[in-house]
Amino acid sequence: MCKHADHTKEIIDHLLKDVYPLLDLRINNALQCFNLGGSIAPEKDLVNDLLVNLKNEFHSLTTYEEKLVFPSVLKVFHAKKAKTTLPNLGDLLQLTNRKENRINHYVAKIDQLINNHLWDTENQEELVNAFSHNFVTEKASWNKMIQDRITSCDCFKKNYFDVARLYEDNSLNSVTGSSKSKH
Amino acid sequence: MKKPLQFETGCAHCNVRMHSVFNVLEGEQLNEMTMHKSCSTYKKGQYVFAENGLPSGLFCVNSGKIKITTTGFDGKEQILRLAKSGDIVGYRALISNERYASSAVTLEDASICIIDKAYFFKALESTPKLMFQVVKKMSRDLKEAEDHIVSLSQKNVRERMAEALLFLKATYGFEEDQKTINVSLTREEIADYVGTSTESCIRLLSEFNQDKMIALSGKKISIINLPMLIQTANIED
Repeated sequence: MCKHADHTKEIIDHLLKDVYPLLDLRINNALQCFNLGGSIAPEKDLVNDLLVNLKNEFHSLTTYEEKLVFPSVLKVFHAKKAKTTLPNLGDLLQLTNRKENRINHYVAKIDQLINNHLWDTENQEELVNAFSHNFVTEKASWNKMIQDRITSCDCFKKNYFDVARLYEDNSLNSVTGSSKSKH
Repeated sequence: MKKPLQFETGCAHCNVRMHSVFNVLEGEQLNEMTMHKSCSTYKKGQYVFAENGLPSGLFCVNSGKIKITTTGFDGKEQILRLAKSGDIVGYRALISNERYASSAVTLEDASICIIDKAYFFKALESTPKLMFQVVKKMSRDLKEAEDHIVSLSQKNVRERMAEALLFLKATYGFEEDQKTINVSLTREEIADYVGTSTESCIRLLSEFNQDKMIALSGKKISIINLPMLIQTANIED
């Protein structure tokens, strides 16, 4: 079996067992402690809405990754020969990247709103720090690792491109229409 | 000097009043209100009041249409509701003694009366029927706002459902017909991906089916109109 597959499995386990639970905790802390301060600043409603949106989007991302994306990545490693049943990783990664962008957008908005306000924002600041550092860094590492596998890991590369070609031949690779240019 | 944009008329002779919260006033009360209001005409696109402004009175629309708007997170204008002849606007900030949280802008040429704040409060105190009419108006507006929230959240679930189908298509691919997603999931499982109830999931799939975006055959889902599905998922390049 390809040695890169084991390393990829380790990174997936690290994301699921270490990184995501911490981020989930930060979201829950930020939400649960939010209305205890007593301040009625109108910005609090906006921050609260953003926190709820962030929670939903983050939960959705982790669900898709855990159930679809990560198993798909490992499946591409382990496939002996590309078949039509293999997942289209290009499309999957584009869909998850868009969700990551939305999450980063929410965090940036929360950061803007909690700056220079008088109510206690300690939990929200911790959330912003955790996402700005842990989430961004870990996801960047993950995406770089996938790109490295595509360019340098023979078994992954072959299956990835064979599937991409199959999808293109069948005119299926069309989530955004941009995968073709990548390949 | 002539003031073409100002006009005054008595509330007793106002036809629009009968369709407004002031239809319960009569006789001397109407004369008193006439003494404490002024009317102006507004050109299309003019601000009646602006976000963060301090309310000095209650606006009563005589003629024309007005949009009540606020600015969203992304800086885009969000229309909260529309007001027409006979409606009162600006009452929320006035009654709660806060600054305006929204702006009112005319959608067409309009004539609008402004009723003095102190008089309005006094009239509310002395006329229970008027108070009841205002509470009814607030309740109707609240109902409309609640309906709006429901429709917004359902729109969001539509996006998530479309996104889920794209994820499933990317993961499992199509069957030989190049339309049917190569996986059979229960409605409960799909609802779990979308983050909604099974009932909502069934309803949304049915709506997508009616919109001819997808076709349903038991547990199998075929994507009939992929561009429309991508558009519904709100995936932007």
